[in-house]
Amino acid sequence: MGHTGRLLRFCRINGNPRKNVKLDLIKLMNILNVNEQAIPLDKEGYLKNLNDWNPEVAEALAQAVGISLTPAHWEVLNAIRDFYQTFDLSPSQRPFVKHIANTLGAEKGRSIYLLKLFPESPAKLAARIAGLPRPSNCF
Amino acid sequence: MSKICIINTRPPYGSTAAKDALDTALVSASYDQDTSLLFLGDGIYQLMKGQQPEALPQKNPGAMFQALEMYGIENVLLCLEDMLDRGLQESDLTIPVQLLARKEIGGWLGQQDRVFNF
Repeated sequence: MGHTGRLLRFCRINGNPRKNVKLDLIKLMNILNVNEQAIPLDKEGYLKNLNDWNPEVAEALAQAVGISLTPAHWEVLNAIRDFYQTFDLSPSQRPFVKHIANTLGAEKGRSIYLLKLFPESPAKLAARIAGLPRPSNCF
Repeated sequence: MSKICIINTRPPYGSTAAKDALDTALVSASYDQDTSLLFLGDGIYQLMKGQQPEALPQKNPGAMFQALEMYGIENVLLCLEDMLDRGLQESDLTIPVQLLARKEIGGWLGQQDRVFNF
């Protein structure tokens, strides 16, 4: 099943067909089109070239999985990007939660809060939208 | 929870041993195992400050070692004699370590459920 197929399935499973999901963003498998620019993605949907990342790319990556980025998403995305800058690592779930607790406060440094923003696997999804490599120690 | 010790005996560059050891440690810690890192012999060079590997297709391990605490890895051990043999002291290292005399190492490893050697 191609990326688009998976996305459609994902949206259906979540009972949220989101009429406005911009599926035309993904015309070809593993290419994200943003402002007429074709951004290559790897087979898991992470940016192939991390330098391609900018806030618009983040919006497009989020839209593709049915997420509209809010300020609550952005503060987490900025925090995970800081983690990467500091430690040269994409965090797995536990250090991710700990880092959010340290930077944004204990209320937000909880799995349940992060799951609401980035469903299913917050560390992986946040890393993907933030334009970081896949957390290699996160399954 | 198992006690798992990852032994590092190789220098930071020239092979993927250091990266493999660190990845193993981070996976182990991510699964809530009681994980420790032990640096012996030339493995101690991994912890030296001031490395500039930018010309290599490898990352600077210094930044990643700073993350050990975030992963809940509190025991980073180093063989005292091996450090002194290399003309190094604790202030040359990127992170705080616990120094073990060589004769104490066997006792530490004896307490572990699993030992991985890189």
